[in-house]
Amino acid sequence: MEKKGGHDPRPKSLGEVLEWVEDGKVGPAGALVLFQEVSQVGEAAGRQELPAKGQVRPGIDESLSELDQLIGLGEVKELVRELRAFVEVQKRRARAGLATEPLVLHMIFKGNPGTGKTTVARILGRILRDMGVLQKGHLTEVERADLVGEYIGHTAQKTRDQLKRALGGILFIDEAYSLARGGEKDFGKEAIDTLVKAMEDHKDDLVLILAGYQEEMERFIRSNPGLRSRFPIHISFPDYSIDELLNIADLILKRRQYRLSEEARQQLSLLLKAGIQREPVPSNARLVRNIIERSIRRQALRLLHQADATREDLMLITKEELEGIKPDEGMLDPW
Amino acid sequence: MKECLILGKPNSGKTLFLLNFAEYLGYRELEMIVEEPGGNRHRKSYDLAGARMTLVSPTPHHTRALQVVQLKVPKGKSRCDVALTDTTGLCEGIHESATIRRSMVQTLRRLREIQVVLHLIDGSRVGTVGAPEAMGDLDHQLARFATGRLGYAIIVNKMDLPGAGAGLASVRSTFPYHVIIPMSALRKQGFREVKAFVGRFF
Repeated sequence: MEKKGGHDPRPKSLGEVLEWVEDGKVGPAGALVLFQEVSQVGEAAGRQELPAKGQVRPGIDESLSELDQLIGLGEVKELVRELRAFVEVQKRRARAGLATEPLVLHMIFKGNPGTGKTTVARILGRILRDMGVLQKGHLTEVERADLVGEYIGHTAQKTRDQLKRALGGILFIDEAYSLARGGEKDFGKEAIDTLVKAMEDHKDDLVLILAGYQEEMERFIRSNPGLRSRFPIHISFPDYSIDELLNIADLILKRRQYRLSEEARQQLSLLLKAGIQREPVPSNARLVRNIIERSIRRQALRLLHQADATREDLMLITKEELEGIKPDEGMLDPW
Repeated sequence: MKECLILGKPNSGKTLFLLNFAEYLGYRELEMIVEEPGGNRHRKSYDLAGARMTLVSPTPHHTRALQVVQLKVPKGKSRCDVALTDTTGLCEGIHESATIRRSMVQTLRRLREIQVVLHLIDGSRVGTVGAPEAMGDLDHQLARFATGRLGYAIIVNKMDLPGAGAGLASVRSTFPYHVIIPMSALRKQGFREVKAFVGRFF
């Protein structure tokens, strides 16, 4: 190391360090020291030159801001921030030669339909990829029928196929509690066993998310004592308030370049209140989306024969469009 | 194809490790890509006995180019492709020969692009003051450079020689936070652990 002392100015790039070694100005040990100095100066450049697993990709801020744009979901946002910090600090600890914790990220999402479970899972996949935790970060969405087979031995095979597709990303099992229905002889149990095994085997390159209604999920976890400890992260997705639903409506409309008139907004608020009361299980954001889509179609109908509609008209959704909609009918059958 | 670099002082047993490790994995013949410091690449076929005769030598700096061998390393029930690369030994201080310095530059350049590094130390000479193979500044800097960036293990070679036990203990106390694998490339001892380590990263 003492050899590097006499040479000024210091090398600015990794290439220059190598030239010094070749010219005999510095030995290999000194070069390694200079490598670190140079890459600390140009941290960003150094990162690109050393691509390794566990490297933070530049896209992470984008994915995080996408998450922040979602309405509500405070708990999820906080969790993601925690995870990010955790991963970062683990990396620094590794650099300092300290023991590191393995990252177990299997999760349970509990909440009614339309509370954002799938959306969050999809964004989470990208964030984990950008943090370097998952290799691909894609979301594989499956349900009971994709996992459970028809005869003995079929289930394990089907489940393994889905697991294979999901490796490097997130396996998202919607209405996961349905795997436990049907009692002891049901093949769902075989699917659970296969999943539990895969969770251990592929700790490093698979995140498993079980999603479903709050109560059913809780019953499901109680019925399989091993499950609770294997899923360290539980997130509840609460139902949206009317205000949050209205914000979601604004967001959907903005993305599609429409807007509500003030009266229409009030009408929508009434509709949502009525809808929430009437639905046996609130469908949250999905209810909003369905109402909006319906009103967009009705607006189109109104404007069809109005040849002189201005740009403003084409964007505006009025009270008229929302008046005829009944929140609980016509959602499956649009007309 | 992911690459695993074998690094260490001259005469720490890098080339013999490469050859015997390949033999341990079941190879009888080797396809080797030799990358010379000047940029020339050529392919050579060896049977293992011949390779040991030609490539391994007790004089330091016998290897002066990158010697890449592509191996299938068992991982669980399957196998993964690994390019195992033998390198020019890195010495303490500045070497007087320009040719060897050029070879060392090639090794250092490759080190920056690599995912996994096996750092060989001659266990029998760890504490021998004045010997070129003794553990020194280079080994410390290599460990510091690799920590946190790469899959990195320190391999204490020549465990079959007298004094290697004490050497191993000394390496362990110097690098308490690193993966350390005792091994004898000559006797093919410790290869199972090395294989498991490499398999983890591919």
